Amino acid sequence: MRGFFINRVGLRAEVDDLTQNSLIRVHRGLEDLKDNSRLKAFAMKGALYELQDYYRGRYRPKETLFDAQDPPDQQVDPTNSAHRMDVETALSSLTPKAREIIELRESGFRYEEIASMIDSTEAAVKMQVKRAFERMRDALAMILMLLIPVS
Amino acid sequence: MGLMDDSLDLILHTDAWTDDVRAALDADPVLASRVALWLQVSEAAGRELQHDLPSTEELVRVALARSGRTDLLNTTERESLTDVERRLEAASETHPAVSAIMNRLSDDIRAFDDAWKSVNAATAPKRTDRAPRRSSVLRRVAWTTAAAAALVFAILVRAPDGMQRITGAGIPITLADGSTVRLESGAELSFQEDSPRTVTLSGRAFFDVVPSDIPFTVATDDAVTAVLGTSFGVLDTPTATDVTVVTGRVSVSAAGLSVILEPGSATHVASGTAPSEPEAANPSDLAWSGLFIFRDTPIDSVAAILSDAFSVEIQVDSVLSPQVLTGTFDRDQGLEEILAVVASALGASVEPVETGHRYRIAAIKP
Repeated sequence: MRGFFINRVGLRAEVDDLTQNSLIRVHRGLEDLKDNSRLKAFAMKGALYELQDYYRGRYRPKETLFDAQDPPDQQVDPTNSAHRMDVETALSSLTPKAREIIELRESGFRYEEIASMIDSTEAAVKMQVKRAFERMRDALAMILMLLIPVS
Repeated sequence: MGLMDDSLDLILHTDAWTDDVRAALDADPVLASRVALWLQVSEAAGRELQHDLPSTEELVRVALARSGRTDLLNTTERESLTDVERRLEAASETHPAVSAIMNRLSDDIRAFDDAWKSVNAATAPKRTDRAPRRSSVLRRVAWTTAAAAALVFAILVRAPDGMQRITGAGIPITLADGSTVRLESGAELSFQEDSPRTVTLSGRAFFDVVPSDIPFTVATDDAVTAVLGTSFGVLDTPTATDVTVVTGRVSVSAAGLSVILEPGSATHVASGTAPSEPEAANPSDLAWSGLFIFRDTPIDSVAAILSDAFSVEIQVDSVLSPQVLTGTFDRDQGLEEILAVVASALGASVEPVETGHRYRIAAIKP
């Protein structure tokens, strides 16, 4: 079990937690375990669920990037319609490749993992992200210009 | 512009939001507001994906089914597959990441299979010769033979007064309550048939006691050792008793005084005196029992202990040095099997440099 997690996420402190949580999942299911040959099924499902949850939760601390007392301008009321349009516009400006990378990143995968998942290199993946950011910046700048009344 | 590019790279590509990232954002409010929007866009993309995607547990089941492993699913899980597949299909039309996520899951499944196989290859063949054999003559004492061919013995003597006496060497003996004891050659354990958790020992023994509300006590000429559930070794010599604890807590009493031993500690009781203050035990104190007992033991020490015990050279890749290992191994498992399990627990591999003489525990690059 431990070997599996090291294989998937590398030698990290979280490996022991993942192993332990998977074993707890197995333990909880033990009363349903009537047949020993099912042990592998329990262990495998426990480990796979745990690994997927781990990926998803990996970047949670991101919310703390901006101080609560000093939020940047854009972190405003999400019901603000102009602001929501920005997000929608920016999303639609993404190429499918960029969106794939961002979705994978938001699913908790690291750039090196994403690179191997889409048969690319880490540098190429990062370049895609940077281009997407720049495209978004340019798209928003154009909209901003359209919104400013010509005096 | 160069500075801005560097900050941007740092911010967009970091795996952790470090002080450097914060500093870069603090220094450039325009950049900060763009990055804030970028994060919201990314989060929106992630949120939409999670909304459309089946749950992680459902994805795992689909991946198992696609890898031909429907046998690992129960009936309800199998019945729900069609519906999950349909939702997955719909999600993949709007979300380009879906196929990469599913491929990754297939890789995860393969990696688990490989890890499972490598451990079972190391432990399975021996497990079959080690099935417990019960003797009807010995009734309440079950034997677990380590190796059928090994020259070990244990003799149970039952006296008319209900007192049972066991002498023996090497093999673990299971007592009526499920606890096991290994007696060194010449050691003797005695207990009343109706109270198997109150035993008297002369000589050297290693106990692995199953938890119970009834304390397990070991009396020697010099001291009484009491536990609820734990593993520990006792050495009774004509002039003293030594107790070494591996797991759990143990109380040792003598001459009207008690000390509590924590895992990894030991005490010495000279005849007629109180137990010494607990001190750190040496893992090799229990090597005589044929057990290797590691509790958060650094991998380099594990390698050193196994090297000594089997008279071989074991090299460990330096990248593995910070790792610690917890586990109990039996000398009868043989070096190669023990090493295979150790390596698997570390996510490493064993390479025989020179079979029977030199081995290397090598890190596998993830």
